[in-house]
Amino acid sequence: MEAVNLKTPPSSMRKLRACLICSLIKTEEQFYQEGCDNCATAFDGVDGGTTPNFSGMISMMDPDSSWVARYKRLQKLVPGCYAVDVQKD
Amino acid sequence: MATRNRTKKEDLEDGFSLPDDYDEVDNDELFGDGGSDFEEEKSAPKSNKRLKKTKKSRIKNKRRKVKEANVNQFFDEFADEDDDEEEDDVGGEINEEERQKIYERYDQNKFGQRSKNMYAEMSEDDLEDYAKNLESKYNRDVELDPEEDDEARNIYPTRADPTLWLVKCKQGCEREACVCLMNKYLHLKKQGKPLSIISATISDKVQSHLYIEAYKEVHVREAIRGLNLIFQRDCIRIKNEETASVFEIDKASKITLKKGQWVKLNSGLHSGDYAKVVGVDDSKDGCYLKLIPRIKTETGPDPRIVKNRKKIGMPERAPLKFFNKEEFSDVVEKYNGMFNKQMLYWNRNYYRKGFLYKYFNIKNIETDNVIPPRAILEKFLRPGENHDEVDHSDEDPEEEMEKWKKLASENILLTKGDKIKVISGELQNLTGKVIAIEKKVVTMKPDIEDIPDNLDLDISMISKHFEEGDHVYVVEGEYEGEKGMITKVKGGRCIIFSDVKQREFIAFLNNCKLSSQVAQLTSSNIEHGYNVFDLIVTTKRMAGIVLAIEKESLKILTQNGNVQNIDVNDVSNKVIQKNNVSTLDHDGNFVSVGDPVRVVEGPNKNLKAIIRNIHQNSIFLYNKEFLETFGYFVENNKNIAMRGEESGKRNMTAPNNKRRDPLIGKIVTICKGEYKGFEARVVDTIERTVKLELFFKSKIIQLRKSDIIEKDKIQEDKRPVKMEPRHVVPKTPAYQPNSPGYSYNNSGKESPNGGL
Repeated sequence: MEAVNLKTPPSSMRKLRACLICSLIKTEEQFYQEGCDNCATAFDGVDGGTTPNFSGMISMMDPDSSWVARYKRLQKLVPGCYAVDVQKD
Repeated sequence: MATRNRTKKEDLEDGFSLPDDYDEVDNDELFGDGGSDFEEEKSAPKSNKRLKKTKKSRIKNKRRKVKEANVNQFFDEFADEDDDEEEDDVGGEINEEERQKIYERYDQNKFGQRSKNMYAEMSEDDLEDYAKNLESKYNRDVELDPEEDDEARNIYPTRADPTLWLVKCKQGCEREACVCLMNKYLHLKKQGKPLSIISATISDKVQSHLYIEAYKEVHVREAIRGLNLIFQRDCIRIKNEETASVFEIDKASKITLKKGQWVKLNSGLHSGDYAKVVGVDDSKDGCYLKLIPRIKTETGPDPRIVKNRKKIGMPERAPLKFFNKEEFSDVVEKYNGMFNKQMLYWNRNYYRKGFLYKYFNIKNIETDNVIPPRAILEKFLRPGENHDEVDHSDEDPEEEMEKWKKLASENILLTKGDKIKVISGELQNLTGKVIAIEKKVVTMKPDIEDIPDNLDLDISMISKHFEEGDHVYVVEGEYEGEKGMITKVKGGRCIIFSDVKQREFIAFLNNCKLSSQVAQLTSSNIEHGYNVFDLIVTTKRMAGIVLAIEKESLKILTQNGNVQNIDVNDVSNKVIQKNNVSTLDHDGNFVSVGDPVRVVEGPNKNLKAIIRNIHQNSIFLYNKEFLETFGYFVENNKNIAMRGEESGKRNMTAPNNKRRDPLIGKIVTICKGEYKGFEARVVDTIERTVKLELFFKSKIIQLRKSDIIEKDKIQEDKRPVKMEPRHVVPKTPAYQPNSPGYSYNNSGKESPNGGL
């Protein structure tokens, strides 16, 4: 059984940001401390790699069997909270 | 598309099928055995190189769909640049030259360069193996093209897929609930008893709802049990074909705010006030605005204004006034990080140069086409003379004025048929009529016959045109809602003589409209709730019919027959006319609203009219002859008589002798209700109710006529009800000796022995 990372979901509801690459949602602080769980190397820092402009939220628990994960292409990503849409501008 | 189809077909022919564990294979191969982040980092660019090489090796073979996205998410960026090239050669027939170009391009690419070196080090056999290896891998991946994913199978979930269930949650706590479920899942999974739900989604479109993906409703119920943010009751299944729409994003709803933009507030204390955006919040939930404060001073605002506001149901509020630090004792100078400025801090708000700087939620802001009136703009630019520190605002006043003028001029509200005038260019001073408007191009029909063609003009070149004597309506600006006649036109402005207030004012031509075009706009005053032909009562107890409405005043026909202009603030209330209001006419007949009457006395003698409103002794009548007052005129009720003979029907129902109810003064018995059985005297009757004075107690009560009986009548009623004597006709069959045995027995008495 794979290890459970309890730190992936956002720890608070304030200052939430979404990763521009994989749209993982975490707090600003979490991004500073741990970076992005999916995009370890490609992650471009909090300012360049994340955005507070996202909408919706998907809590992906079981990406392997999920239709939502397939539709939103979250299959290969770690379980966690993802944005439905991220504004990249 | 053709390529794609063929690819699939060939795959089928090869008998190739997609292994279930394809992703594991990918990862193992690319990352080696180690799973640490460090190794992933290293292997990432390397694997990319390999991808490039594969393409090269398979360039003759047109099946070159490389699926970086599926290898790992963070190759997306690299993949993108290649995609274009890929499409080039997949899409059409490629000749040798183009192919060569592509080779060269790859060589110039730094990744390509590197991989070339890598291959140089490899032996030929190794290369072949390696190429084969990769080829098989990418063949397999063809099926997993992300675009094909979308088109072919991802639109609707199949039956084997889990379904979405809709549950309700607390409003405003959607995100929290979503994260809550995630945490619950992870914690329980750590304990070894994971929840069976698969995902949870919230959409910004749908408030206070949560979509949970699961195979069964039981799983959802299990997951939400014990969470107080989610309501346990409802759990609705979403149909498969509706599922995808949950994830569609409504992008149009996003509002973009820019610094320096004018906005209008639409709720709260500053409702209706104009403000300027000085800072936009990152999350775009709101912005910082600069506005003129409304500070409640101890003396309070003008009591008259307050009184009227209360009447309309608005909370009282202070007038617009610049902040003056000398007026308040506890002002602190504080540095504000948001604006990077020293600001005055008072009562939890920041002030600077007389303005209030405050954060507002975007929900409370109106952003579309907001153009402040000139007066407000001038206030913003020159905020008060007696403020030393307010002398020069941050913005250059002239520049601001220019910007505003540009805004205002762009905002010509043109409609078909408007008269316009060219204000710049060769055709200056040419007038004409608008025929069509398309965005910023206006088609104009010139008034001069020498120019037969219609002209297309840019909206910035024209302005509205009115002539002296035109009757116009001001649609925007300080005098919004006023109607009047243009007495002079000069530049872009005109002097208008107001119909109602009987005074002159200046307005922009662009803000005016010919009043004939806006008749419907003036038929009601939404702000105050008055309509034309409403019956109102003024504060001086004068009744009147509303004939015309301006922004702040009403033209009324009073009960004395005069036409007056009154201020909206002088209106006490609107009379809602009930249908059954009636009064007595000259002959003592009851007349009510809608009855046809004839004027029998006074200057309007013998005029026929219809009753429209009744207020005490004044009757508002309608007759077409009174053009100035839209047909309305007023008569005293003694001056009119019902046209009973002509209409006929009313005469029967309202006879003359009905004036005094015969019931009055009679002694009655109450036969229903609280006072049942008591006797009382009728004091008065109103329609179907009676007022009774009780005998046993000094009290007057009101009852329905049906609840009482006249005392004389009671006795009359009782007399005939006599008890019938019980006699003669036996009610039961048993009384009747019709049993055959009975007679037999009777006759049997007379036994033959009896005769002995």
